[in-house]
Amino acid sequence: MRRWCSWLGMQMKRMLRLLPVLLAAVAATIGILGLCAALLLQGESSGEGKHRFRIGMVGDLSDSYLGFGISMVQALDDSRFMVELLPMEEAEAERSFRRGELSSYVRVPDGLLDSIVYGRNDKPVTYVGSEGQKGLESILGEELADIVSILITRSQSAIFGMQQIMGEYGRQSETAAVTEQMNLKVFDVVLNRAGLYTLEELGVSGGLSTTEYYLGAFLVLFLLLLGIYGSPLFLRRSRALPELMKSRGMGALAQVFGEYAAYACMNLICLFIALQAVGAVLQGGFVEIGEWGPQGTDFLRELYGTAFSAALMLSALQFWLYELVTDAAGSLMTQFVCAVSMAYLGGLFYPADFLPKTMRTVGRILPAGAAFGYVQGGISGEMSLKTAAPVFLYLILFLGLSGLTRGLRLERGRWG
Amino acid sequence: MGIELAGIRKSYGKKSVLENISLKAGKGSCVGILGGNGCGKSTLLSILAGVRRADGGSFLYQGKDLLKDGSLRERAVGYVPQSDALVEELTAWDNLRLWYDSAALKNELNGGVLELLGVSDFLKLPVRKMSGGMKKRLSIACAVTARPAVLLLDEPSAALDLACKERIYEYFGRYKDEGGILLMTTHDMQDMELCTKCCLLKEGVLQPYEYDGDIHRLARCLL
Repeated sequence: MRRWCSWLGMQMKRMLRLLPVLLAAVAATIGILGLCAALLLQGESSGEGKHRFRIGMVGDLSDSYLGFGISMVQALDDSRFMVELLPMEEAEAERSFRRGELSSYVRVPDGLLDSIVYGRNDKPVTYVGSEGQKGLESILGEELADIVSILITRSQSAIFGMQQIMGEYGRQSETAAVTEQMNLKVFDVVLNRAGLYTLEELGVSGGLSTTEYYLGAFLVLFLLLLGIYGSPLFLRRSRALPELMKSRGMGALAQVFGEYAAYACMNLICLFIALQAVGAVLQGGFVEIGEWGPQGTDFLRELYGTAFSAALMLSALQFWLYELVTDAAGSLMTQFVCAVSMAYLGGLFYPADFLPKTMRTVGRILPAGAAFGYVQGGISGEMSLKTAAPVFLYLILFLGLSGLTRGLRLERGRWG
Repeated sequence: MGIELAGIRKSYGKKSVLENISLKAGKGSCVGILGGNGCGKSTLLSILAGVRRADGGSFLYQGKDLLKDGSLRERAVGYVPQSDALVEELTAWDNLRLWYDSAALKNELNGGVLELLGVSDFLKLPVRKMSGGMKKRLSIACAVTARPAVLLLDEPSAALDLACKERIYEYFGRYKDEGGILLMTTHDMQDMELCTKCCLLKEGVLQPYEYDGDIHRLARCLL
């Protein structure tokens, strides 16, 4: 036991020697993640700050209805925070689109309104986007272009249809007044459509708001990245020392526990500092998280328990990976690839609900997904055995695997 | 009272590394084990040190099998691995504290083994700033904490300059004189001059070898 305590003490000393360099790296990470979070939160809190889709409108816009409709949508409609409609020439639209200044453009064909008036549907509005666009933005752009074209053309179809029916029934004299009324009604309904429903936000995943979700996600991502920052602790290890320790009676598992304790301690210190930094930002009022109210820092304090447990488990995973792959380049690559792939599958970059079901299931089962589920439980205050058990089982598993790997390595004498 | 290795075997899967290794060494002797790279010299020492398990055989000391009696082995056997078993970020003092308690450390620094090895000259120096010779002396100092009767040395003088070699040979000489048994693997001719007996490990078999200073003959034997 005395030797194990000395071993632990020695590992702690190593850790403390490396800590200043590590903290500098951690500060840089917190800065980058903090900046991402702040930008995300700022975008959330203000509709004006959101990315606006710029959609070009080209073609025959001379009709007063169409022109009026576009002006109304641009000036008064709720969608003005998301969509900017820009009347322009097609050549200019194409140039702007190629330069990336437009998300897409909508080509209004000549004679569109005549076609609508005479009840034909032979002049379709064309949406022009990039052939290779596959991402979320292109889907949104297409959807928005659809909304705009439907909003403008269908409302006009209704008005012209009404005028035709009035004519057929010999009530042309009333047409102007009814058209005006109908125009006003359409614009009233269209422009106030936000008041037609209330949107109850259930959150992006697990009942969390976007802010809470990304706080948890960044926290787990930060813990995953610590595996890379902690590399000096592993890469500078003496390979002969474990052999000497074993010859003096300290087995692989005891060695691993001592080293893991120091590594986990280092990660907990980094996590504590990161959470303190987030707390300071909240307390300083630099960022407000509406859901938490003014007691944001109290809420953060409650998060420590779950975050610390998740950190212990992910530290055990990282420790095992360093046991498994011992050469410098290989071990760093392993840490990086594992961190990024698990973060992607676990929904740390964007909600896992966007992923196919199989990937989602795998992501949830993987250690990062389990840790994230556990942290989410801590944030939402809905902790259950189902979310906590995987974290503790993984912790035991990875420590056991680390001991086994060390034992095999000592027996086989292969270190890299 | 000496040591006796009898019938030690080791294989990795189907590949046999050590076959029926037997050897006797008396007090105050130094046995040099020669052999080509990868012939199993380090494996043999690591088995004797208790790092790896043998498939069979015994390592007798005081009538007890040290391959089975772990606590006696820890007291009786010191092991110096080929690469230095030191923590690079820490000082010599910090490294020694893993093996010595405070009282023993002070004792060994004042006229004891640590003074003899000259470790007291660089106690506060971090290992990463030490020369190869300093590291080797510190490694030996870490290995002899319990004043073992048997010292296993895996290529102790590899990559050391002459002055460093002289210093550690001086210590090994004194260790032998005090009745200790040295078992070393080596490729170094100077190391062999320290040996009272040499053995050649080839294709898993250990056989006696009369070293007469003719390195060409030795090289032919190794082929």
